[in-house]
Amino acid sequence: MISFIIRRVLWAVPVLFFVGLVSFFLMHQAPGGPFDQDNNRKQVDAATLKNLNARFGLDKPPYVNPRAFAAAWKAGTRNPFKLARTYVDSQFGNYMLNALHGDLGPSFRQRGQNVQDLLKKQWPFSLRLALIALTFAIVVGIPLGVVAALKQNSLADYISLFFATVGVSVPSFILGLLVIIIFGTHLRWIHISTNDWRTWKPYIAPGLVLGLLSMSFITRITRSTVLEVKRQDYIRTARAKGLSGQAVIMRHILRNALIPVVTTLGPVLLGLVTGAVITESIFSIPGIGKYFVDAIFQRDYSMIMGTTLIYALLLVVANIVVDLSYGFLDPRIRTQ
Amino acid sequence: MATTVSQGTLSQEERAFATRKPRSLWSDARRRLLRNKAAVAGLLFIAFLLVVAVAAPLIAPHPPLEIIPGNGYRQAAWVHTPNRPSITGKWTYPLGTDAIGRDVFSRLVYGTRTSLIVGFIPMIITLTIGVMVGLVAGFKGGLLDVGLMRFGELVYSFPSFLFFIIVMTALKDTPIGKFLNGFLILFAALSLVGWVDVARLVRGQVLSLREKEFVEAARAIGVRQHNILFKHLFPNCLGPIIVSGAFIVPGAIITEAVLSYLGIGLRPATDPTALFPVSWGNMILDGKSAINAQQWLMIAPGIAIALITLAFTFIGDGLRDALDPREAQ
Amino acid sequence: MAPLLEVKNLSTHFFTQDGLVKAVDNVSFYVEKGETLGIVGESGSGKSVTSMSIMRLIPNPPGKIASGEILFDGEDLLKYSEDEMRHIRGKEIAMVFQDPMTSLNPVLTIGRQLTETLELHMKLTGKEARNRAGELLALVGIPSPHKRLDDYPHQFSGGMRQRVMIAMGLSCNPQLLIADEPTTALDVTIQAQILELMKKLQDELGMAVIIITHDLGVVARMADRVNVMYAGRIIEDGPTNQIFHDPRMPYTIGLLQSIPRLDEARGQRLSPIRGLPPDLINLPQVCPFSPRCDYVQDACYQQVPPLRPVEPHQRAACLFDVHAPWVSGNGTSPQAQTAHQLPATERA
Repeated sequence: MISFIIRRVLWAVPVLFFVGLVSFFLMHQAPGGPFDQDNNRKQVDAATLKNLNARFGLDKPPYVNPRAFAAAWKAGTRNPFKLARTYVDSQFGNYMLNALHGDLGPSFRQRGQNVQDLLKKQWPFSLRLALIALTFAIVVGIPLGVVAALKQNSLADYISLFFATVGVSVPSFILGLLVIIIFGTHLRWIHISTNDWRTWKPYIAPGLVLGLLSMSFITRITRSTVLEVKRQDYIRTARAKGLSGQAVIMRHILRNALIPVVTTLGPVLLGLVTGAVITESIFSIPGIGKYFVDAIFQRDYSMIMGTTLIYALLLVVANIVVDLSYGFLDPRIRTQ
Repeated sequence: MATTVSQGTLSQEERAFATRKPRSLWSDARRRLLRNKAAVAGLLFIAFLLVVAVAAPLIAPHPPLEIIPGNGYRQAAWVHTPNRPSITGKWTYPLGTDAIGRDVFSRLVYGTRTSLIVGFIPMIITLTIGVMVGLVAGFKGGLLDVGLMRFGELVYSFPSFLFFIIVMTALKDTPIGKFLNGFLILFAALSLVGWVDVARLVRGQVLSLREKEFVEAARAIGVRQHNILFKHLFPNCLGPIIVSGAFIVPGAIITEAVLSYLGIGLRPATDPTALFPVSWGNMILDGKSAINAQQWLMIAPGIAIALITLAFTFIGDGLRDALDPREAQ
Repeated sequence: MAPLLEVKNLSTHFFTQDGLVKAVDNVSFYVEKGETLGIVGESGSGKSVTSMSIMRLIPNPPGKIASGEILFDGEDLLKYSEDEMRHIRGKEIAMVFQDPMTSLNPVLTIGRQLTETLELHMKLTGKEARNRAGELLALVGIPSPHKRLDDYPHQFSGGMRQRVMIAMGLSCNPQLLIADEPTTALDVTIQAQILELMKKLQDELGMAVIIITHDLGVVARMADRVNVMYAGRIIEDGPTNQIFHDPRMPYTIGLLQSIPRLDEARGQRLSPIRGLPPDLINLPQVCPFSPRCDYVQDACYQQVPPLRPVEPHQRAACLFDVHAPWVSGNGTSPQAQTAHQLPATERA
């Protein structure tokens, strides 16, 4: 179990490196540099541009810096750490090393602000939205799936299955826009632009919109795992012991059925994060997702990259937690 | 005498115990699929959309890119605004028009083409890559298997939506990004991510089948490797492959719509003869900025996307239940 | 005195997409207190469905007990409410299932799975139940029983798990233990140990046992009486010795001929029963064994042969007085008295 944890944590290193490298490589292909235009989208003169590029290290080679390495070697440096540092004294190398210290560099569009400072301001809003959505997804999704499976082929089963199928099919950005049109514009139940995002209430509608996909996903998974467990021999054993229906469900079916459900929380969280990007933007919640979308429209490459790294880190950590809880729930893994 | 009796009893025996026709796996699956009402509805709807896509020029009342000055933001036909005759709904424009006077209904009809092609092409590419990698990794084993699967795991751990966003923002204004109005880069991005799931699935299947008797037997009588791979192993993986393919389609359609909505999907076509002139995602993007002026600009493509993905999910569910007898009790 | 269990005209049907399956069709039998009844048959013959019907654990849908009575201590279990039935299950009638690898809940400790019955039926407190669970594990021969209560099923071997299953079955001193293929999934040496254990415990505790198996060796070793099932019906029953010595139903004869015997002449070939069991959907109203029978006659296609007494305690569902080839009593050979083997059928 402990070696399993260590392996999972170590695996996060190549994953984050890979995400960083691919993002950096792709961003590097985009035409134009970050400082080509000033805040008013005017062309910057050559001297200033050179200055800015030098200041942020953008005059360095993109991936590795063999020149600096050779220079250091000639200068007599033999300390392998120092030599290695000169070798990766590149745009990418410096970016990743700075990121390790929590420095994600300056925003290309919001002058004078660092990406990490912007993210720090935004995450509490995103967290609230995600919490509401996740709670809704789990608290509604699991019982709905269990009920559907226990009453297989009943009306309740058909109804919840239908809604769960609709829920996983309809993209949340469409659902969100429809909710705004119906409940915002026509019925005027929710306010769109005049919200105080420091309170909880305005998060409810976007939270439900965002959570619906995850809820439907959980409902479907729970339903199929409960159906699977229901057929197992040990459930027959439990019933042959004379246990009440409730004891069979709570003690024998749910304990087993929830293990595979927990493993799907990884994809569920991924869906939440992805959906949050769009949902925040649609409902104008000032969270990470909204600024991410703004950054996409403004081509704020450092912001896009920084946010991607943060999201990737978040998901890696979430997946490790999910794997651990899986190991904790399943004695066949725990006792190994 | 004895012979006649025995003949008589034999035929009687045959009559008495005439068992039902043996059913093959596939005909059994087809029967189960066709009994699933939701899946049948989904299939019918997709068939309908295929007809619409092919016959778009006959169905659409206007060319999808026809700009009519002074006709902007006309309301849907049943919305009447007597005070403002320039935008009141009329049946020449059933779902109204967009900002520059293009007919929403016609654009919706043509958008069917984009949606279907965006669903199917990445599905085919993804399945091809996934099946190849899975078959090779599972069959060859060893270092190749470890390498491929580790790489797959790496790709898999890159959140796919973020990958799409990065690819599309970074490459949108490069020559590759502009090629075919962005279709090429979109297909490439969609296919580069989805293959891992398919590869894992196929590899798992191959690993479990590899040791089965019929493969051993084929090997023992000297069937060549690629024949074992394609004639013995591949057909046995077909069920799960079809099911995962059915679920790739709605995923791709949604992704295209989201990316276009973010302004980094397909580029709006300008060539009036373009085969795929309109994307529903782009229409939603247009509609979002007109959310108060002309709501059907957003509602119509929104519902269209919801329906097409729902139809594919129904089909996928139906296929899964049909091809996995254990699930379909 | 009335028997402990008396099953009368039990029919259990399954409604499948292909049609109605009469998995158990008009079956009657009884079990006396303390005796062991063996039920033999091929898979699909209805023996497991019979036992599940007694426990009223037929999954519904697709299954349903269509008619009949199941008298346990004189009371019809089919008239019991689900609640009342729960007090029978595990307490009065317990079951041991075929596959110990899958019949224990993988996420609960062995101790928890044992104590839940004890707490439920014997009203023991947590601590008492735990002690008793340890005693039960000791009874079925598990070393350091009290320590192993906290282990999970995957930490036990197959044979050990089956011992745990037996301990679970015995935990509330049931009057009847139904063992459904209790040794099928086990190694041969372990099989013998488990059978010995069951026999020993039955002697000690004095309960009745129904042992369901396709293995005639198990029946010979364990059972006082045997029911032979085929295509959802009992086609022969009687005391074990008598059935093994002089089976009167061609199917039973075929079964016995298809296993090697130590007491038979050298060079004698094993003769398996040809063909396959019939499809239970749309079973015609003829003798279900007729297509595979070596003694078949025209009359076999006229009706379903009823179970009729052939000896004082033996009944067989064959229209004719058939004897196995190895029985030469009464001076009449089976060929003389009944149908000769039909050449055409044999060739088929």
